[in-house]
Amino acid sequence: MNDEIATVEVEWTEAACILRIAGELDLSNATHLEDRVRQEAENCRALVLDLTGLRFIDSSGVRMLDHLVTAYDGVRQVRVATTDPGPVRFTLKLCGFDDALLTTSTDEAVASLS
Amino acid sequence: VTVAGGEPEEPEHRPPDALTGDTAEELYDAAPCGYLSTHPDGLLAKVNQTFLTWTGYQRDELVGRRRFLDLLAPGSRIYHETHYAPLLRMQGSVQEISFDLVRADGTRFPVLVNSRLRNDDEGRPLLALTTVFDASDRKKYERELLLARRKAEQYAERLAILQLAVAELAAAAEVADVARVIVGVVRDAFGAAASALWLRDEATGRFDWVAALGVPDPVGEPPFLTADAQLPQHEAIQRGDVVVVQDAAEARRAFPLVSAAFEGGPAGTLVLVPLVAQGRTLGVVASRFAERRDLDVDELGLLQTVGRQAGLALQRARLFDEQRTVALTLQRSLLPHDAPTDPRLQLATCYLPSEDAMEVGGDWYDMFGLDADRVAVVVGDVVGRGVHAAAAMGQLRSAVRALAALDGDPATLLGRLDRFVEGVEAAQMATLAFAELDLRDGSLRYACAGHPPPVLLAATGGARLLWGGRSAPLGAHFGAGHRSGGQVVLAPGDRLLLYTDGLVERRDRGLDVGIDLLAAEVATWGHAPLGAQVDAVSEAMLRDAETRDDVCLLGLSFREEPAFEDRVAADRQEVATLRDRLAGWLAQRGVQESEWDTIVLACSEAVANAIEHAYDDDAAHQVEVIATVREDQLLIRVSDAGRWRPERADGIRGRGLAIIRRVMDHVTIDRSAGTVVTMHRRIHPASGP
Repeated sequence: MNDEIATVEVEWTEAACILRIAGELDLSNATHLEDRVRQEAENCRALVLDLTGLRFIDSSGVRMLDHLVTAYDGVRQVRVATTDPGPVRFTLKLCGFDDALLTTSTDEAVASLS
Repeated sequence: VTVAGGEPEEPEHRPPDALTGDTAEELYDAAPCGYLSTHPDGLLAKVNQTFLTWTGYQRDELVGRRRFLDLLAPGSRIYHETHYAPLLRMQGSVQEISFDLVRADGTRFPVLVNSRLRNDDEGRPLLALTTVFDASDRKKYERELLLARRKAEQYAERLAILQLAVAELAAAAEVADVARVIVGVVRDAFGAAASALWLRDEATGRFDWVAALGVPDPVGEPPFLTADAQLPQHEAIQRGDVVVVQDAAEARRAFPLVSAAFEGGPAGTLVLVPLVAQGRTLGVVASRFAERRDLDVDELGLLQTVGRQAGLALQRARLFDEQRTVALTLQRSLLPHDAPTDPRLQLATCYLPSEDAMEVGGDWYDMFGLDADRVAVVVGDVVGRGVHAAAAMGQLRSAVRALAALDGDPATLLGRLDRFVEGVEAAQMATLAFAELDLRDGSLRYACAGHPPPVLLAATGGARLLWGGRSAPLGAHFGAGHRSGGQVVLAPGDRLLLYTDGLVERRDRGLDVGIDLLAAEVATWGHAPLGAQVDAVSEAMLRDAETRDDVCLLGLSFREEPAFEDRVAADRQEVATLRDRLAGWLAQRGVQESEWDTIVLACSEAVANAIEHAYDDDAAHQVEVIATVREDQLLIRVSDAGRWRPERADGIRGRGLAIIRRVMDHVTIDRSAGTVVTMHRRIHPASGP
């Protein structure tokens, strides 16, 4: 895990577990961050990944999001918040990430949970 | 009584021989062969005196007491039982059976034996009659014959090795090659366990240890031989003759300093062979055998021959090394060390001396400032090889520098050089390409005197040859009589390449074909930074050349933005810092901020791919990243030297590559050696071009 390029903060609300990942997400820390997210989100109803503070995401990061969405499919809802336009949103769109899961803020994300 | 092959007869009491006066009994006893008779049970019945004399037994020790079998050596006894006795019984006689008898004193006595059975009237064996011939001479002869044959074979084998060595020595161009052959030959031809070589240092007269083969410490290996040391090496050097130290005892007596080497390991014979040429000893080979080895006259003669052959080869190689070194040093010293530095200009050169050591030629390049805003570049080739050519090149180079400083265009300069070479014969017919570049506006004036055309690479891609400004070589009388020049204007990022004909000339193709090929290679490597381009072009052009002449290349780029060149270890943690550096460089290059992210993303994906797939996260390897901006074209080249392995099931690589392909205009992936991902993208400079 590359401690210097990403930070993680966790916030619990009634509706969801909100994980803020800031910095950069690439192949050096994607696997570790995925484990961390799974650990934190173990008992939550819904998961909001706040990536508005993320400056960079590569295909390893996209894969990590993909794993989480797949793993939680039908178990708990997942939302991903990114600034739009922004480099992270750009990459996610490039990789065909499901628009329905994308929001621009955590508030919007929580509001979209059913 | 007959002797050879004859049958022994029981001596009968006949009257004395009419001729000699000897009785039959006397003839029997004194016969030149042994006679013996044995009873059917094997006990000796009768023996003659000759047999007793040969074997040293007393008659009463044998007769009636011992069997013939008892007198045989163990090996012969077996043969007696398995062959002799059965044959005699079946055939009634046996001929020329070889036995070893044991004498009374225990020594062996080789004999040849004929036997015949005498039967009684009813056909039952009565006596076996045996003649015994002394075979010791014959055995000795056989042994000698065998030995001589083996020796002849060894000699032939050794001669073959020596012939090979002489051929190798003849082919060995440099002292190091000769040394390698010499130490090998004594070992291979004579079976020495180890060899070491000391060569005379002509400057100090000292003999320095230069090479060894076999066990590491054959003779104590002093790093050099001092004059006063009592070493056998010295005796060989002084006498110019082969010296043999047979064993430890001899070492102690004659060369106490090396006796330690004998005490340590197996006390093998030490042979010192001087390498002599024209009466001077240039070196000495010390060879150590694993055990004591008696060298005969022939072998010593062969060793002496080896020493002379090696001495001659050594002398030749030294001369060769010396001349080559002088020519190379001269040539190197004449190449410029004071290239002009100006932010508007980049220069890169490549000088490859001829592979053929004696062919060091008169190729040169030069670059110098004419004034604050103008620089001159030259590449030239003086006719001829060796020291003379290198010296003439030096004079011509100085002349170009001096005369270029005067007013006038390149054509005028060539005219002045024509007059200069009238007084320097070795520089006549030299060819050169001269160009002067005005750094303010990129205007380039050039002229070629019998020299292949410069290559101009446009920043936008595409190489062309500058065929203008051509005239004859310097001092040529066949020329049209006037010098002409050409002119072009370089745009920012344009490059110019000057070179000598060694780069393009090949026996198997025309010069024009070579020049066109060069232009193509220059274009192919146009994206690379200037220095890398010059190296890559020379490598590509000379890759499959059988022999290489001198080659000079000089590359120049005008107002070119510096390239991004970076190497990162194949470590996932390294990619983030690489991204930062690339983003910083893009900012410096005036690339719009909105484009940084996508460019950096593509590069990051390619690097991640190399780390994860080509190198399997082995941080001992490196990934190279080169980026250039030429006009509005961005190029990023990510290369690794790893293996391209099948894609993983999760499709990670596919996603990374998909990103690269979508954000870049054009992507090529070359997997011929490692993986090279080359990405192009049209960019929109933040500030105008």
